[in-house]
Amino acid sequence: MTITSLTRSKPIRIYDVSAGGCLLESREPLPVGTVGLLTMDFDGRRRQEWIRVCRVQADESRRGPCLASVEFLPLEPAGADSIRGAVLRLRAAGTRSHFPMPSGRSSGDTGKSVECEDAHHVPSSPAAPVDHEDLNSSCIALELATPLLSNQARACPKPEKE
Amino acid sequence: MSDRRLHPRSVFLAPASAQLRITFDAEIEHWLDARAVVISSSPCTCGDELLVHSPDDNGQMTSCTAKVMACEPILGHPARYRVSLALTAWPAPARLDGVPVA
Repeated sequence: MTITSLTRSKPIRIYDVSAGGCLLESREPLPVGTVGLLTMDFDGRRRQEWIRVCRVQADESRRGPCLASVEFLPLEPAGADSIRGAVLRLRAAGTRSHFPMPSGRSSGDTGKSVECEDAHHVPSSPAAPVDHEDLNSSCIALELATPLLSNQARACPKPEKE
Repeated sequence: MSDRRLHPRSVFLAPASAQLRITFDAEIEHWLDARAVVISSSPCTCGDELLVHSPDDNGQMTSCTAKVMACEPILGHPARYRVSLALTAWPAPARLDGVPVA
């Protein structure tokens, strides 16, 4: 018996990002625990990061898009081509005006966060995808992504200690 | 308290496009020339383009592209699927992340 591995590529859209993970939307279901390689144009260059799906919320009819909270897997140091490295560097470079630090939880909030008072509007339905050349030009919003996930989002099972 | 508050996050004003590559294991049931049949725990859609990574006779990882021609479930638990593939490019050395070496 010979074991092989198959790799499937699927287009997704990303709503928010941090140094630890991001919130993404997929047209196909993404089971919790799925591991994959995320590739995106970020801060002016193509970057990659290994991710693992932590929480998902699919449309009840299973026909709509699937929102998934994913964590970055630190399988190697955050290099020049990594997403988490870019986020960390941009924050460290003093781009506080572009990187507000809202209170609240990370992607996949189940609704218990305190929203910023100056949060203007969180779109209830995703807008048309837009390619951004620079994180600084696209990541200036103060909104929290909490409304994107409801209380029914499934929690990521903790791995059992051996 | 979970570890979900470790990092502040930033929200894109509009969703950013990206690609997600998902890798899963499969058993080669039959492989002859440009046709292969594998047993997978993940279903595939006819017409999907896949990257197939497998060791060659020397133990080196090779990579080639394939198109899903058919996918049928195999009764049993856990669910598995028999996937028929048509190779569209011949094997080439692959990097660890699965990307074929140019």
